[in-house]
Amino acid sequence: MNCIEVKNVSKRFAETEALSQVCLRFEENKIYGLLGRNGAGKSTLLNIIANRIFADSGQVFVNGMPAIENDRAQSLLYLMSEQTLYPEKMKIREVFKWTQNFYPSFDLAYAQNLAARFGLDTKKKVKALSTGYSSIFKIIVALSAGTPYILLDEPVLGLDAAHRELFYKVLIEKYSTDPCTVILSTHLIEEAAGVVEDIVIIKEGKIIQNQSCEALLSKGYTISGKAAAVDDFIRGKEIIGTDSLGGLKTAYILGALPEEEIPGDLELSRLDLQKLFVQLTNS
Amino acid sequence: MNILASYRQQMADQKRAILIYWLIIFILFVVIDGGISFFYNGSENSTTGSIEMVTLIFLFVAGLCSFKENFLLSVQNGISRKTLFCGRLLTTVSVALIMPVADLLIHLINRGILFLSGSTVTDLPLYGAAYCGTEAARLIYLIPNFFMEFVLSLAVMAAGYFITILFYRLNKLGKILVGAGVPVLLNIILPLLDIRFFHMAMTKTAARLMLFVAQRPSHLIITSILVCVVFCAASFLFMRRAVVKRQ
Repeated sequence: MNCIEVKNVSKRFAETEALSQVCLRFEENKIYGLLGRNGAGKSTLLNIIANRIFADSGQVFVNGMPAIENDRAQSLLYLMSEQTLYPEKMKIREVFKWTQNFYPSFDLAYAQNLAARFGLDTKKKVKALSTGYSSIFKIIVALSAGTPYILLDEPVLGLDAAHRELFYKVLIEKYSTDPCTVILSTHLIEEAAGVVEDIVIIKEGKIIQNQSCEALLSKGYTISGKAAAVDDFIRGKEIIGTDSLGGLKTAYILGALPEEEIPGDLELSRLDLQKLFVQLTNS
Repeated sequence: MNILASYRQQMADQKRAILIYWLIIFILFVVIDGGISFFYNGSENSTTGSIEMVTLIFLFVAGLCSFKENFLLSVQNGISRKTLFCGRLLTTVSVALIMPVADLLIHLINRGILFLSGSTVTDLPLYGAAYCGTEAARLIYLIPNFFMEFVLSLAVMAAGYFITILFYRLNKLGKILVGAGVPVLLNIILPLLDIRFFHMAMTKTAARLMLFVAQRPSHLIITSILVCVVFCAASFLFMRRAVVKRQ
C-alpha cells in the first residue's frame, strides 16, 4: 500500500525525549494536520522522515521502501521546512532550475505561475527574501516538486492574512487537480481546520490523537453554565479541561453527545479544533 | 541518475570559483609575468612557472568550501549522503583533471609570449623545478607534470574536504579543541617532547619521511594516491551520519 509508515520511531536530544515509540501511517491522497505545541516533536518527526536527522530507533518506510539513505524513497517526498537549506546567494529561479535537476517532475511553469500569483520576484536571491517571502518561495518549490508526498513544516510562518488565504486556496486547487498526500504542520489550527482531513496530535513526543478531523470533533463537546450545575453534569464523564470565570464554568468533554436531557441552565456546544487541541495538549 | 544530478550540481558549484581563479592566474601569470619577462634582460638561468603550487593551494581551499552548502542542498532535494559522496568523488576527479589542463594551457601561452619576446627567461613546470632543472623546459616534460599535478590535486582536495566535514560534525568545544589543539600539538607539544625525551628522533624521522616522499616522482604519486584514499574514506565515515543542524 502506498503510504509513509513510521514504525516505533524514537529520538532523544540530550535529556529531552523528542519522540517516543511513534507509530503512524500517512496514507495516499489525504491532507493531514500535524499538530502539537512548541517542542512537541513535529519537526523532529518530519526531519526523520526526510532523512535530515536520524532516529535513535525505529524505521520509516515510503511506499514500502526504507526511507533512510534511500534516494528512491526520498524522491517521492519533499519537505518544506522553517529552516532554509538553499544557498543564500542562489537566486529563486536558480533554485527552481536545481530543483528540476533533482526532481524531474518539477513543474517549472506552475512554479512561475505561483510566483506571479504570490508576487514573488524570482530574480531575487534567497538571502534577500523577507521571512514571509522566504516561506512563500519554499511553499512554491514544495507544491511544484511533483512528489506524491508533500511535507510542510510551518508553511505560513511570517505570511500575512492575504497570503495565508491564497496559500490555502492554492493548496486546495493543487490537491483537487493533482491529488497527493500533504502533511501540514502548523500552529494556526483554526485556519488549517478547513483544509485538513485527518488530524495527528503529538504531545511530548507521543501521538495522542490520530483520526479524521470530523471523527475527532464529533468525540467532544463543551458544556457551560453555572459552576454547580456543570459539576453535576460532568460527573463520571471524561473531562479534558475546564475554564472558570466568576460563577460560570465551561467543561470540555471527550465522548459522544449526551443522550440524557440537558438541564435548561446549561448550554451545550460542539468543540472546535483549536479548543480541543488546547485542552488535549494542556492536560 | 541521482549521482549524475548531484555531480552536475557540485560541478556547477565549483565552476564559478575555477573560472575566477583561472582568470586571475591568467592575468597575473601571463600578462604580468610575460610583461616583466619582455623587459627583463637578466641571466639565462632565470625561470618562471610552478603555477601548480598556486593551483594546489586553491584546490585545498576549494575543498574546504565544498561541503556545507552542497550537503544542505542535497538533503533538501532528497539526495542521500552516499549519493552526495559519489557525486563528490566524480567532481574531485573531474576538477583534478581540468586544473592541470588549464595550467598546461597557461604554460603553453607563457612559453609563447617568452618565445615571441625573445626573452631569456625559461618557463618551468613544478615537475621540472622539483626533479629535472631547466632540462624540464622541454615540452615532453609537461606530460609527467600533468600526471603529478593530477594526483596532487586529488590529495589536496580530499584533505580539504575531510577537514570541512570534520569541522561540520564537531560541536563548538570539539571545533576549538581540534582547531587550536592540533597546531599546538604539532608546533609546541610534540617538538618539546621530542627534544626532552627522544633526542630529536621524531623530527629526524619526519624529515626522512618527507625526503623519501619527495625524492622521486613515483614516491610522490603513490603517497598522493594513498593520502587521497585515506581522506576520502575518512570523509565518507564522517559524512554518513551527518545531520542538518539548527542554524
